[in-house]
Amino acid sequence: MASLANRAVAAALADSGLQRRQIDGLLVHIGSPRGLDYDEMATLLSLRTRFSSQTWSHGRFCGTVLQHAAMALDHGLADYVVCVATFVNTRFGNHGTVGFPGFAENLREGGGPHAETLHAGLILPAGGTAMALQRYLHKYNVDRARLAAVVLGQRRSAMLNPLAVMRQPMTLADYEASPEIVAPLRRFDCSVPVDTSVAVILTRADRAKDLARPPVYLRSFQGIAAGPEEFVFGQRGLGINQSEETDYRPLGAGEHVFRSGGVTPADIDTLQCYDGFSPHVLWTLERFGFAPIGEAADWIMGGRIELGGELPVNTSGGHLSEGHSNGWGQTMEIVRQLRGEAGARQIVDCRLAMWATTFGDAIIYDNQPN
Amino acid sequence: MTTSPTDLSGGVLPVRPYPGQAALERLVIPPSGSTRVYHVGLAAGRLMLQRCCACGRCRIPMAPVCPYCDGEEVDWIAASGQGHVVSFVHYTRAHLPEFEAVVPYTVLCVQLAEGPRMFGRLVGSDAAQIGQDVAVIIEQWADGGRAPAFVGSGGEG
Repeated sequence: MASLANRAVAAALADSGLQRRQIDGLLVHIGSPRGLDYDEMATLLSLRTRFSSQTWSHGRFCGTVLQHAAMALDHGLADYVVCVATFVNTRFGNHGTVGFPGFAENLREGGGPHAETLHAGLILPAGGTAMALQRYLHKYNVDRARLAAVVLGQRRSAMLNPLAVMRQPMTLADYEASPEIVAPLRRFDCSVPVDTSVAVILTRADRAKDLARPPVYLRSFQGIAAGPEEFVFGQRGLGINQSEETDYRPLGAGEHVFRSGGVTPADIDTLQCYDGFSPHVLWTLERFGFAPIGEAADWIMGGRIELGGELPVNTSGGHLSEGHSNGWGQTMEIVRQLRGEAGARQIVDCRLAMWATTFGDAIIYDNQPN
Repeated sequence: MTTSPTDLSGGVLPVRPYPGQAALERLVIPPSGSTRVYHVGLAAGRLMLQRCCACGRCRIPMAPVCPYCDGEEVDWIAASGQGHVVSFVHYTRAHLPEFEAVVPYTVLCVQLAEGPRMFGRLVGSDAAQIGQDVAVIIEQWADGGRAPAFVGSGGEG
């Protein structure tokens, strides 16, 4: 695993033109048992840092890690922070740590991390998402078949991405023939576990302009929402888990990330979002005001979120087809798109790119300094 | 958090054997001081819910603070066992060996009459509908462990 991590770190160093000894900050997403903890990462990769931290070994914290790095830089805790996500999901079978013997996390006092409730047979992250999806389809009278547009669209993008693990063509018939893992979710609604490593180096804008390659700027961001009304794998207001049934009205363009960035959803050139399961794309579009609540499945019709459409989404294939990188594949795609290096997938005049999740965190990236 | 004396009267629910020889033990959190009443209730055929002494609302999961009013004092009531289906999912495979005896099976998200939502397996049927009335039963597993589940209201399931 250390060799895998080092390939990513060495590639990021080469891209930036920095020397390893200049890195004085380390933020790790995904530690043991799926990845390397920050202390062993630093030791094994010969990093010497004065700011070091790590998040819980779950997929949610890509944005959080990058935000913490930015804040540390703002406070002078480090000059160059390397954010590293390295994980070996295949070691744990098709369902990640959830299938790991012991699965103690599923027995947390408040329920498992995705509403797993083992005595009820509610097992796997897919279970909580499927529960939220069933309610969503009912509440907003959404045609379940429309999810296919998310899956097929991301696969078409993945076919243009040499790094994607799922590049074979997928037809609607293929999608509809895929088995129901936890109905109403089909296999192809579920992300593909992979082993991967990504490293991203952050520094302050004044230092970045001297680096070897064009920098990408964090324009604005916001954190993950939590509390009784939030269910990480579903929308608020669906009545799933402890989130009560309410007439949910997303903040949309009123979200902090838009207000502090001085932009609106209409200004975003590409959305790269967390897609552990296909409905997450719909819910992210609605939470952040791209599509009206309950209407994302209609909104995405006609290639609207595909390359060439109004708002290309997950243009690397996302977790559904590129592989479940916990958001880091999407982060790399944002860098490529904003640098104009996305090859066959390049979005014309791509200036503002957004990372966002069902659970509320977001980053707006800019290829120009603020 | 303080806990008032527990009234276990009323609210007796049907107890059914869970099919097969599986043990419940590794699927549930071991009882602790703050959850003792819940486990005592199951042993006595009741689903005990924490109720906030300040605002009167019941909550799941058991927690030291009321999610509605931040009150810290609770008493406990025996759930009526009545509720309706908010959502449901179907499992066609047993992802844990404990569920091989019941697969395929349906899991419900139920809004209990007392307010909170609770997940549980639907017993005796695979056909669930949103809005459908259901009733809580208690299943007894081979190791003596007990956990709540649901049956369709009015039917024996």
